[in-house]
Amino acid sequence: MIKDITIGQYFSAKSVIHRLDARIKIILTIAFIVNIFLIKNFWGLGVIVATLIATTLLSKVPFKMILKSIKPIVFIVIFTAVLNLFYMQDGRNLLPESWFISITDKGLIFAFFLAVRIITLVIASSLLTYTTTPTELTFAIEKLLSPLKLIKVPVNTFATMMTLALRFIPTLIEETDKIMSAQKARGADLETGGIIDRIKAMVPILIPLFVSSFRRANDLAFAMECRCYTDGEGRTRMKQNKISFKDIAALVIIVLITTGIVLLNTFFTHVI
Amino acid sequence: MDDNIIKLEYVTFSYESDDEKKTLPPAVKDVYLTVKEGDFVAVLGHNGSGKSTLAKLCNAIAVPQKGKVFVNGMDTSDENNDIDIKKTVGMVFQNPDNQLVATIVEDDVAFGLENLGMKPELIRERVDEALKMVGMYELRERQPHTLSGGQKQRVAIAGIVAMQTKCIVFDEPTAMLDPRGRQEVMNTVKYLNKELGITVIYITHFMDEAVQADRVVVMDDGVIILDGTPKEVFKNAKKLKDVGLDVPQLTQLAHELKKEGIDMPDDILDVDEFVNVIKELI
Repeated sequence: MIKDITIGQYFSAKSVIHRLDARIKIILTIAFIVNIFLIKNFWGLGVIVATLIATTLLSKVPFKMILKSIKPIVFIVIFTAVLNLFYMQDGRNLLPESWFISITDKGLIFAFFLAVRIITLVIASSLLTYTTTPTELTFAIEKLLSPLKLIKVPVNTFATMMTLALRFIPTLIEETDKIMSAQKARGADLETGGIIDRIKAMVPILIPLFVSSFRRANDLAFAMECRCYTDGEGRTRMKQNKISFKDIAALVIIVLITTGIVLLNTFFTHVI
Repeated sequence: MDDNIIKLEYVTFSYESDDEKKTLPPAVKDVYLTVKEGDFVAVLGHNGSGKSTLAKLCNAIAVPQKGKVFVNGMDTSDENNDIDIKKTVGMVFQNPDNQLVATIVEDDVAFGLENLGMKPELIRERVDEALKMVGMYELRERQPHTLSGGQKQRVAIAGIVAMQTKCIVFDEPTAMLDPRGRQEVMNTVKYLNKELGITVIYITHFMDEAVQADRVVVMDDGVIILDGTPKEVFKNAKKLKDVGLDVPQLTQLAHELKKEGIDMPDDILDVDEFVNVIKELI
């Protein structure tokens, strides 16, 4: 039931991509997204799509799951593409002059690029979450943000908060389940009625949930204090992730791809 | 220097009330208690008897308004001692869910050591050691929410054991567990006390658990009413009943038999003892 909700949509598999350091993976994803917006012609587009397909195959994440990640954005993609199709009026009109709307060749290319860009962007970022556990992600974000400590941003505290949030999601889901059953046993009607009725029916679920969460937070604060937690300053980590050869290789590859795309942009005519 | 790891000197503590005009009655009143290193002390009492407050006083989570608490000679009211006190006295709480902080078992056990800023290799060593001691090493990569209550509680214990505290305070660690989980936790606690010499203060309202301690302290309404070995304490069946506590089942049975005119001693605690007495009578 409600317990089956997967958190952070991690897909467990043993692949090169899974074994890459999470920090490197975040950097790679950002670099790749920058590249998506750098491309100016079909050559570049080809390189982007080919890289993404290769990465997906390497990651052993099933094709079905990739499709699942695009599903929520299909509407947005179509909507923006169509909008741009009619908005972009430069270039040669492809429809008969007598029609009161016009679609130009440039508009068509523009819309196509836009759609591909959004889809590749979403696939690239979901590949990151499919292949990295939430714990690794938190750790990586903490490490990558650590320069911000210089300007007094409490990065450690932030990381602890993220870990705790992840830790308590399943606990709170279980609790919600329990409260829902308890309220149903008292005759609460959660499944019928209009939207307003249903929202109202959530109140007796949310209040106990909030109360118990505060109680938990209180207990947790004591427990953490007992284990010498202060403010995250001077903490160390048991698990040290070392940058290995394959991480360096991955960085080199992304640099090569970026250079390639810049070169393709300079030597071939821009279509957008 | 005396060999008391924990010493409460005429301690009074009351919680702050939300309403500023009213003051709550003290949860602990003028309590004097010393615990020797290596002891296994059970603290018994019904709800509201002040036994949990007593636990909190032992490692500076609560600081008394009157009197002083010393942990290994360190005054708990001095904030500079805070970290050292927490390195000496660890605490395991009632709800296993509310004291685990990480998404993976071994990361949770490492939490305390990470806070102390230890070297990663040393943390690894101590975490593995602690997990083996509580018998959770095989499950070290599991997520806490997939474990049973007893297992979660053992992970919480490992988190304290890894910090190598001299003393562990258990605040009703089995209250939310099923009988099997209770047994698991109790066995672990006894192992820590007997094999590793860790001082244990075990707060509970289960008689059967208190019987297994070296010393039992009974609290009622913020004061200590009985203090002694389990045999000495459970002799006072009437006094225990007056404050809403039971005696262990076998002690109860012996008392009933005595009432019927059979010559039974007052201090029977376990089955073997009971059987021996009955054998002699027959």
